[in-house]
Amino acid sequence: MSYLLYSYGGYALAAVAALLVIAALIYIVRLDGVRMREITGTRYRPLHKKGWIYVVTAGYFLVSIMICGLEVPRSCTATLSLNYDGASSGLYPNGTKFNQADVLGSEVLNIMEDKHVLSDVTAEDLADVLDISAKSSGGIDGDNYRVSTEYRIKYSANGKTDHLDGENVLQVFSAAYREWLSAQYTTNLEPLSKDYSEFNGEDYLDICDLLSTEADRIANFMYTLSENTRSFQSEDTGEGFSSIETRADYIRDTLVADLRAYVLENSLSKDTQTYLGRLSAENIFLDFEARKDRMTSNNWLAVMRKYEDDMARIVLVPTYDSYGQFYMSQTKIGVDEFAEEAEESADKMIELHARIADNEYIADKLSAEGEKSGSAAGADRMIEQIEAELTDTAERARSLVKEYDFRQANGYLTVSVSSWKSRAMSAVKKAAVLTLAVFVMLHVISFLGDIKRNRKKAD
Amino acid sequence: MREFQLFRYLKKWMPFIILFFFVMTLMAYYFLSGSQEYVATAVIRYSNDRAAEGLAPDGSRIDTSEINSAANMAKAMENLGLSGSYSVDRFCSSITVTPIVKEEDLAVQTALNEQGEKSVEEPTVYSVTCTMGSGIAGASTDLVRDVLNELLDVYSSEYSAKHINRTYISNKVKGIQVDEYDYLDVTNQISDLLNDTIDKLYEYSEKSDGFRSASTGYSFKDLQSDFEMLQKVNVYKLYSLILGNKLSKNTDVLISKYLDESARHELESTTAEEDLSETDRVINTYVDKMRSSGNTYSDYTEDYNYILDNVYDNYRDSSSASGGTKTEEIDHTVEYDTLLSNWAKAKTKADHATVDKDYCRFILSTYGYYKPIEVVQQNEDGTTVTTLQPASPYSVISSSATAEEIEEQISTLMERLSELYAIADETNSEYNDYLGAQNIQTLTSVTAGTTINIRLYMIIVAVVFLIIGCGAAVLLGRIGDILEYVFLRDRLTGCMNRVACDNFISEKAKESAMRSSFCCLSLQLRNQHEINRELGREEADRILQTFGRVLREMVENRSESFVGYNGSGQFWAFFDLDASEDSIAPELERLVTVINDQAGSYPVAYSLGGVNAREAGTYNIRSLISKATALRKDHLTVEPKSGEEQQADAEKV
Repeated sequence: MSYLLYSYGGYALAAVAALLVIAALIYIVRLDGVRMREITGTRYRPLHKKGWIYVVTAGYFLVSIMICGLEVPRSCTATLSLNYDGASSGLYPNGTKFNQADVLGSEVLNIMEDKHVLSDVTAEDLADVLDISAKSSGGIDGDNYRVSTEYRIKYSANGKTDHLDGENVLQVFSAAYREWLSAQYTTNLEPLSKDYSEFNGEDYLDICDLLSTEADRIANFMYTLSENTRSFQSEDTGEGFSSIETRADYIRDTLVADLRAYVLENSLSKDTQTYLGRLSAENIFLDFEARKDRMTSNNWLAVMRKYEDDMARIVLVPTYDSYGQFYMSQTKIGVDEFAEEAEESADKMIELHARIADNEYIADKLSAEGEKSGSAAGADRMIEQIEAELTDTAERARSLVKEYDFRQANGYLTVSVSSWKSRAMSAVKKAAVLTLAVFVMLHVISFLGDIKRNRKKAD
Repeated sequence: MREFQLFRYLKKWMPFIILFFFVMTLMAYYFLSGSQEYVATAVIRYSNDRAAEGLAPDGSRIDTSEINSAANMAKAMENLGLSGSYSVDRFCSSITVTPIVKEEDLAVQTALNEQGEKSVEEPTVYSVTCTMGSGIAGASTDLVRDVLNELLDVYSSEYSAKHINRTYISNKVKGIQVDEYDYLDVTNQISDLLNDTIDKLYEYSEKSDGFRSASTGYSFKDLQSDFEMLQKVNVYKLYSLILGNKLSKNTDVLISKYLDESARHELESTTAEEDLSETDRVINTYVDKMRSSGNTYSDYTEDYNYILDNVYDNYRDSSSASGGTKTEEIDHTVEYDTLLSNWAKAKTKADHATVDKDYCRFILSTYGYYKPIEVVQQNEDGTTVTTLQPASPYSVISSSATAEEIEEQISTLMERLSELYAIADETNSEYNDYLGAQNIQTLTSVTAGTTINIRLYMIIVAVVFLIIGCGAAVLLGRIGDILEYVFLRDRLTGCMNRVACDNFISEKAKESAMRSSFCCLSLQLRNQHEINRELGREEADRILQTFGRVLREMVENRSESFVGYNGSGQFWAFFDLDASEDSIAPELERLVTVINDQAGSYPVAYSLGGVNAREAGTYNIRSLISKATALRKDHLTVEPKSGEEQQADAEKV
């Protein structure tokens, strides 16, 4: 019943006011118009004879307060403000395009449903009662472009959500959207969450490479973040991104390098035959590649030699060098390009040869006479130490990133929900305006009645 | 004719006015609702370096028709859960893309056009609008806004994939039919895939400026490292185990395959050598011709280094097959350089074919097809030594492994690759979205609204129709007055004529129940002939007019009123008493007073009678008329003057 009153009560109140206006107009017509002298000359009847107006008005006011009051829990608005970098450019925190439809998208609504705070409603029900609109957007002329960073979220109850409190719904929305935004756009820490002990099954040199890669990964992770915010420091530990980057670099450049040297000098391998086999296979394939690159390079050099002298012609081009000084450059001819191709192939070949040489060196080392006693255990201890160090560094990195993301996410958005008091005041104002209109029209009708009476007396 | 009385007409036609007002307002509402359109608009800008030239980052022309392509719209609809509920084509046709050109830019373009020059500046800012009429079921501001938002999202991502980040890290691991291929072939495919992927990831990491995906946490460099580790540790390990243990599902097939490949490479090498010799011949002929025609630069040319004056364009516009123009890069490469470049490529191809043939030999030798070759060497002392030289200089050492172990390792490797490719795909997808957002900037948020403000229009329509209704009522009323005046009014007295009287009485007689407040007045002039004779026709008419006017003034503003002149000085008046009146007597008295007051100085004799249906106890009009006639009393407007008074008046004159 109260929902019906809420849905149609407002129309009924407005209809009453409108009917009174129409009645007054019809009355004027039936009186054949009202002359100015009648308006100024008509005397009002005493108040006690017009008490019915005040009674009706008071009744109307009470009814309208009741009906408008039904809106207070059933209608509510909130302002969603996006405060992260990029919001004013229409972007998400990760630089991708912001989509307004995501704010009340199925993912957010599902989170609202899953919180089990709003009883007996589904995400589909919530989609029907929530609406979003940009608070400002600017026009399409060049001087008025603006991307809105504030959105109005409006809740209007329907039959299925009539039992909910609007303010509560929007508070739940606020929490759900904040949760969704944080989950979507705060950094995934999986690359920093590896269990390094999984590497222990690999051969020693592979462990060195894996630990080095992981240390490098942590360093790069920290480097990227420090580029965005150099001054950020943990409130608990005082560490910043660059300090953790330095730790990771140390692990890679010192601890892992020491381990690698130790393994090689002690010819350590858990399965020498397999490792050597791998190296030999790698070297074979690298050698085939290197041969191709060498041939390619040689062929470009041969082409350069083949270039006939009298087919070459260079002209000069005045320009500026990288210091802004006048510089006489020259046009390129085919030989320039051939040289570039030769160099590129040569570079590849050299790189491959370097890898082959490195593999041969390792193979020589591993093939050397027996391991020194205790050296495997020593390597294992070093690996444990590095893994512990790496785990600790990764943990610090994760904590720091989480703290950073937490602070960022807290500032991502603010949601301010209209208070009960402001909504109640709004309802009272609405009722007051309607009541005033009714009061005025009742007085008008009563006044017309006075005019009619005066005319009869005059007749 | 009756006076123009606005409120009389309005009162009379009030039901018509109200009906007209409501019907027309409702019709207007349905019409406006049917014409309602929902519009969403956003403004975007292409912000890559060459956007002002109309080019995308990859050098292709920016084509704004891609925004509302069927593919993009279908994807947007799928994301919104609207697939199947609406037509894609209909939604596509609801999108319009309009360039926004600043006034100053337009002025520049116009000025250039007037001079016969073409402006090279292309618009970079576009307004994208989605318009849906009420013909689309469920059309609303929410729908147009969501459709436009999602479409721009999808377009941004697709634009990046098509014009910026065109290389795609595809997970082709799924396509490797492990059961169908031999171990070596599977490993080769995985290795090739990894090489390709690592190269692409290297390219990405170089140009992505440290991009790290928020959803996966990985950067392209991280992924490159992971794929490299897999290749280094797992792939080469597989090679060593397979080749070292000479494992194969079917050695004969394997050997046949590599024999065939070896033969193919031999053929390639031969063909390339032929191509090479032909290219050589062309080059030599070219150079000879250049020399013989004096188009080379000899050492004896005075000074062949001179400073360049102009640098020529890299691009030109040419006609395309479709009739428009396209921008294409001009190839300035000299033919001689091209010939030499071709020579180098042909030579490289021949050389690479040789290397590939060696690789085949290595495989065949590993699987025992090629046996070691006996080589006899002669020593210095004359003795000979026979050694076995391997058929290939390459050999793989390995620990032992079984086929099952190989299959398990391949399976594990492919699982790990699939995981990494999934991460790479997700990272690349987010990178695409990122690039799209960087290259297509949003200048305004999507705003949605209606083309017709129904509330405002309805207020205006209601007022207009009310005014029209009132105007029509006035018009009809006035036309009624005119017709009444022409056909039913007595011109002299202004009352209704005899015909109207008869009609009124006939109509009233048909009523089954007369109101008890209904009254009938009968007035008869008795000395009309005397007045005519003594005062003249004009004065007699004036008196009749006065009587008629007074009756009308008293009666016509009452409900159910009728005042008629039957001729020969006989008036009839019919009306309803007000609710506050219970007798007609006061009205009769008032009528007598007014008539006597206004009739003039000449004594006019008249008889006046009036009855009220309730007082008379009769509710039939003819009876009422009879009773009123019977109750007529004689009156005189003024007392006649005595003889002396008349004489005094005459003397005064």
